[in-house]
Amino acid sequence: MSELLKRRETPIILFAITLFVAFGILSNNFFTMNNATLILSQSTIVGLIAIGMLMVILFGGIDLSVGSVLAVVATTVGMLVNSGLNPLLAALLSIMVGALCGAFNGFFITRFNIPDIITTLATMFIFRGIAVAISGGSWITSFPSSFDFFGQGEVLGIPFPVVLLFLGAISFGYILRFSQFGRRIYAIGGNLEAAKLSGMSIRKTKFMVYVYSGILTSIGGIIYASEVGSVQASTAGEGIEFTVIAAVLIGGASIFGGVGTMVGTVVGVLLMGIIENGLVLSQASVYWVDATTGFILILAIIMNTIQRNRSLASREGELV
Amino acid sequence: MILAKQSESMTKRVPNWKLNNNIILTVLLIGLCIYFSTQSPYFFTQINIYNILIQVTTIGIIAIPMTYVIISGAMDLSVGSILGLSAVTLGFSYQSGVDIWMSVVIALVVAALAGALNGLLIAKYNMQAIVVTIGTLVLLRGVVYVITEGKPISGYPDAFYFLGQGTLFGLPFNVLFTILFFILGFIVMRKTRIGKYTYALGNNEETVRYSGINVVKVRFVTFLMSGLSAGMAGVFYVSRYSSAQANAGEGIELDVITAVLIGGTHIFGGRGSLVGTFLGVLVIGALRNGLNLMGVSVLYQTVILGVLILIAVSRQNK
Repeated sequence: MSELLKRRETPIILFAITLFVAFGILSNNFFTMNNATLILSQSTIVGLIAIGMLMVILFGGIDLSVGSVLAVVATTVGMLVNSGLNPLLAALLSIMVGALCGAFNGFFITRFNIPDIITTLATMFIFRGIAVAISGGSWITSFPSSFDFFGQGEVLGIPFPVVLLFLGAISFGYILRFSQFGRRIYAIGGNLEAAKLSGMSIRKTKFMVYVYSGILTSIGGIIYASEVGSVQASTAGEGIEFTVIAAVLIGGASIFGGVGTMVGTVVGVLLMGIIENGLVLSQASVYWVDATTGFILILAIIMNTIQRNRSLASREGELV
Repeated sequence: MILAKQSESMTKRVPNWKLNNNIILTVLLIGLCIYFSTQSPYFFTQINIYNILIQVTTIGIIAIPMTYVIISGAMDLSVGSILGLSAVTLGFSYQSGVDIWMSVVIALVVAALAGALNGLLIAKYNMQAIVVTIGTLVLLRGVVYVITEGKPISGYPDAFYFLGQGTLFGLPFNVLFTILFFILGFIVMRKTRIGKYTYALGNNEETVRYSGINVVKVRFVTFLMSGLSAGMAGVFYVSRYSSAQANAGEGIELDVITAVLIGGTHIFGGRGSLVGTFLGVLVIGALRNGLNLMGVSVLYQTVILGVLILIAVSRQNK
């Protein structure tokens, strides 16, 4: 029991449960099976992107460009299916486009040593412009019905996007915990110098993480296009990076790198979903959702810093 | 001793590098002006030059403390939202019956408080500047929308429009103000201790701390000033456009940071100058204005700014 209380994720899980109960009392519609499914499927896009963001934050980086990558991919896949291409093929092609966006980020960050935040701030605007250029500035809509499956289909009664999120979380959770690649990410975030000295290729690992982040964001983008049924390149996915970062950080990942788990991130994503859904159901102004996201971000970094100071204090006097 | 050595090597290295960068920027600025004049006959008229100068006041005012912040090794992404907050606070308090100049004071105080919040969390509690200011970016913009419910607030007394539309000695008042602010910022950076400490902080925070300098205070002041200046920019914004909109200043951090970075301020701190920032602001202003005249969409303009950032910063690391 005391072990359980010490875990980083415990406070946030308790917070999520409290919130769940509070919203249940505030609104009659909150505690229904339909609503639970709704929260889950609304969280899939944020969730998929959050998996990539977790890896980026774990090695001490941050990716602000995910919203724009989503726009590029959603636009691409929309144009491709509308031109009559097989939806599956279109999806694969656009995932490659997303991977390319991630590679672009990774290239500038690793090759030119530009800080992650600056590179992705710049590419956030660059990719957004590219998305608008691809779309020609017009809405992309009326997709063929064969494309609906990605966002609206069901497998064994479970929405397909939820299945994707589940698979993504499990496989990347496994990679982070047990594979060499995953352990390297933790090592780089935990102690960069030590990781360098033990002969790891920092560049290669970082680059690959950005490519994975691009791929996961692309899957989110495809789901977005299929679910919403129309894409406007100039606004698609705008601001989603903040929700994702908030979810990952409130889920116990440390902004200083090296600390964080997939379980925590998934809980963080669900928490953000619960908050958004609950606010909408309690008929608060939609603008409260943004304000709350900002508040959660600040709360997360405060918790982060307190936990870090505590662990530094407990380590004082140890020879590192 | 170590600090003395360091600042000596610092002053030795900086002028060389800075000079080069400023020359490049000047050439770039002239080149842009020539190019845009060939594209649009309207570009090189007196009215349009004034236009550019007025347009860049918003970026310029914010870029001054941003230069300090980046030189000290941090970053402030929340300036756009603080601008919006100040604009909307001004509109809101005037609308609820407060005297207009009192409303201006309230707006500035609120903006300074937002900057102080950043400063408190970052300087006092050692939190990461980027994440804290991303947090306040999202939080404050949300608050702004909640206050206004997305509707603009307009209708101010004529006297107030002097700030953003009036002229003094033949120059637009806000341009004059920005130039004076630049000169003040330059003098503070060159001649006062807080300027030296800012550079030192970006070079080696530990050394500065061990030299007995109050690191927390210096960092706090830079963020406080950043908030206050964004607030001033907000006041000028409302006066110029005659209305306070919820989306005022959205995305302006890109323009400001691009101006500072192409101005030669080093992304990891410790190096940089306000002269460079001044030129950087002018380059951004000429670029935005010229592209507008050519009918290039705002979204494509931001692409160019993004590319400029990447070029500027990758040049720094060579």
